[in-house]
Amino acid sequence: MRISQLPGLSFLRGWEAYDSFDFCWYGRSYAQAALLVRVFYLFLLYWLATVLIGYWADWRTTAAVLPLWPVAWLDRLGVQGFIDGLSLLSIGIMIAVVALPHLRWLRIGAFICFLLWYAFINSFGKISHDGHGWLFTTMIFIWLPSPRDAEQSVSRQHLFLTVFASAQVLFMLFYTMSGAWKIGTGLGQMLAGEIGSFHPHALAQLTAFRLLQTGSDSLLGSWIIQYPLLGWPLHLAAIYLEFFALLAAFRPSLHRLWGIGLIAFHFGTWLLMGIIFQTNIALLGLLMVMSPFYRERTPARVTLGNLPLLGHLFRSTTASETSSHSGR
Amino acid sequence: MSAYRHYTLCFLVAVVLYVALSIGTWLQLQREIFPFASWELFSYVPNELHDYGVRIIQVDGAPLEGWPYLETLDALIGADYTINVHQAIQTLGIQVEQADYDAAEESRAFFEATHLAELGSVEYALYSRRSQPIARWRGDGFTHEVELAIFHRKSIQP
Repeated sequence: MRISQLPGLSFLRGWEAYDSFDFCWYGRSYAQAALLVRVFYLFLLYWLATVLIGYWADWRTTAAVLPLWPVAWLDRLGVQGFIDGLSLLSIGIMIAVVALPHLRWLRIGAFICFLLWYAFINSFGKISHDGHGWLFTTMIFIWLPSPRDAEQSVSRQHLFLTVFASAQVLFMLFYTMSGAWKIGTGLGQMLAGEIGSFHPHALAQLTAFRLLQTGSDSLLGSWIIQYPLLGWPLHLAAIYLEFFALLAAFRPSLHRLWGIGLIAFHFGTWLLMGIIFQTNIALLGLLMVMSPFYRERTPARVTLGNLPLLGHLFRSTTASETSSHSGR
Repeated sequence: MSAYRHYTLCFLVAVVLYVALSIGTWLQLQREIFPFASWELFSYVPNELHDYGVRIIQVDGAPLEGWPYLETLDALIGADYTINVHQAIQTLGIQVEQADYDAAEESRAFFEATHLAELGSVEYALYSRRSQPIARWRGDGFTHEVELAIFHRKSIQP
């Protein structure tokens, strides 16, 4: 998909001189996207299984819930009735959707079950964000056309890939929003003379703040607090990766790099702050690292030439090579 | 209009609505409407940390020396002090400080039922605290502490 082809965005055409995907590889990309959709639902089933094995018994006897709106009606059934009913229904639907992902009504069922599950999990006074990407991807995949149609029609393959690309775009938008907040708030704090996102001690300060919130320690948290300057490039790199994630979604040669980079970012937040986002790691692997739009064996120089803000440092030496990759 | 163009247009409209709703809600209410997250995560670097904590005064009539903070009592509570416990205390602290006692009563009942359930009779104090994060993490303690309320099960004794 070319972003400049979207209504009102033709002014972005210049950005695409170095990277675009013109869907001439329909067959290969479609086959990979279709496989990734199956694996996506398999992961969803695996996630459900681990949650049920770990918590089903505890939740049946849970003492207090502050239900979010999707599960506001659970008091009518009672928590035990709600959990038992939703668990059994979810197991059935999730197994079915792994086997038969081409049936839209099963994908709708999977979305509704996951929405209810995720809302319940977050009905204990705090909303976590480790499943938002999965929830919205599950919703977007409802619009996938049937593979039977797609295998016989290039236009249906195009729609299939467009839906898949939109899931990538939305997932990367979440990171960009997070990066934009850091930049905006960081600039505000800088102007106020405070330690903000761009300050050399920002990561150490945030790490101490987070560890105090949970009264715990992390594997490398004390190290970064002891040597705050070591965290400076890591924090700036994280802001860069987050802020430009949306742009990377529209540059196929960056998909794998951004997927790996954001996975490393999540490992970093775990090692330093103890924040676990393993579900996002899995989704990054599926949507970005194994992106159907990424061309295997893309030269590193082409990827570097497409880096936001920094790409021009590499383009002058790789112009001829990138032009040979721009019309694929 | 072809199916993919129609889908793309609808998707773009949905994305714009998502961004407007999530950020607007966060800016107006400082909270999010599930599942429309604003993704304002760790953007503000706290130069001075203002938070709330719970000191346990006594359990089943037995006083605890020095009124230790809940985050230091994992063994007594029988569970880890998690971010959910911390969040429950912050919510209670804000409501008490703002004199929103109806909401505070609900938050306190939730906090006691979920995070103090393993204990018998408990008397505890809610504190407002200020600290410098790195200094506090190194053990320098708080720069300022104020007792907001003492709770003994369901009776509030401000």
